[in-house]
Amino acid sequence: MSGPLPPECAGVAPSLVELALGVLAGEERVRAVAHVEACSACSALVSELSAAADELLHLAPGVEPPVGFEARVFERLGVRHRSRGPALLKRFDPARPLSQGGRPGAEGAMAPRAEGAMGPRAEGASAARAARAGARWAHGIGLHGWRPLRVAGVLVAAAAVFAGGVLAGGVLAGHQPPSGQPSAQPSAQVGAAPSALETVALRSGSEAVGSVMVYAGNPTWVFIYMDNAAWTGELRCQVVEYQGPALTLGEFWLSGGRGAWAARVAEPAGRLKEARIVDSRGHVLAVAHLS
Amino acid sequence: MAVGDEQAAVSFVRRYQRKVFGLALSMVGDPALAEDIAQEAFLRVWKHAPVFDRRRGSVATWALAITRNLAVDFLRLRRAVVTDPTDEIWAGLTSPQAPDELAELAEAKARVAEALAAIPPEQSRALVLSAVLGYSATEISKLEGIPLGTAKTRVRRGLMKLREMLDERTTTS
Repeated sequence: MSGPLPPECAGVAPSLVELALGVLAGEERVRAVAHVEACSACSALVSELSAAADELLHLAPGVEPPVGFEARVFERLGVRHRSRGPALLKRFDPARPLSQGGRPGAEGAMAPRAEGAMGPRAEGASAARAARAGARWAHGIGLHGWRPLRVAGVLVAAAAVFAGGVLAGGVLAGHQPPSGQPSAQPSAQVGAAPSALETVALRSGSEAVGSVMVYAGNPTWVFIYMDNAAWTGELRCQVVEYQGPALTLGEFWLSGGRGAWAARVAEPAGRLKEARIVDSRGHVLAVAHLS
Repeated sequence: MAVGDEQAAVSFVRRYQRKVFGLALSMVGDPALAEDIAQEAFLRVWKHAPVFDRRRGSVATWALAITRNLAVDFLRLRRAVVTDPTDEIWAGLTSPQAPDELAELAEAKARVAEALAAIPPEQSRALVLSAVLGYSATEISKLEGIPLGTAKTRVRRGLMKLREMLDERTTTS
């Protein structure tokens, strides 16, 4: 620890604490910095006080940054990275109210859990495979480097897991169920509700930019993946009801035209006319017409 | 940027983003601005990583100090009116960490909270206002309705005492 300051430092001594705290400004700061740079005793004292003050910063609470923060930092750092599903998805915790644009009854939610925490647990070998695939996705496999079919398979698998193993086996190979058809093989889970998974192309004009999958269960789930879009940035997902308003489910981050997202919707799947992606100004970028 | 560096950068950001953003948000109170500050902090950390001296403290503390300095720079420009930190901010600074907080950060918080508890309340409050929330002595004086000299004394004595407490703990551990 540094000792008493030399007498010639008396004039600047009162400023050293604020200098160490980083809150000294103006002429006082200029004088103090000039002195400290030339005085080893004061320099040592300021270093010690700064170190102690910096420890206080640990009092600040950790707060989840906004959706897409991580991706934006990586972009500025010039880092190639794989996005983490949960980092995007956990923002939409069903226990929390929707942010702007949403309304009660159209809740965003966390990624599906392979452990069946929010649905009956899948059983059997094929369901277990689906569970593993879903778990991998839910724990952050990004879309970079994934072929579209594979991504679709993983997302469908995640939907299947979430549906309690209603879907199985074939979805892992990317075999999507026919649109609008009950996709299910009989569930191993006794008491599982009948369900259907509809897969619809998400189009920007005539160009397919991804897919939307709607799980018609209780609740309804909307899964979105995009792998061929021309945009990067924060986008908004909406669903539109027949004779109803557009419901904003939440925002997600699209990086290099790729991204995946999921949310649950209180309305029955049959009441949903379309799912769409809009930008921050409300312009509709892509639409999936649901049956 | 090399592959190894990229992995380190990704790990670092993911490890400390909650804490860095949380500090920025506590200081400026606006999420969009806090994000700008947090982003800039990570850029600076990464830019200066090669010269980081581990003997001067943990990398987490260093990153937080950079965040604090950036926020102070902003506040110095923008804070025309001195306002009392909200109850929410005080609660955030004094409540236990969230369960998923990193162990190293939880330990650091516990250590400093214990040291702070041994300091007279008026001094510890002035110290937190200055060191964590970026208030100058003049601002603390206005906020607390006390003479400038008293505000400076509280901060100074509080910080000196904190340094002693932390030194004692370092020596005995």
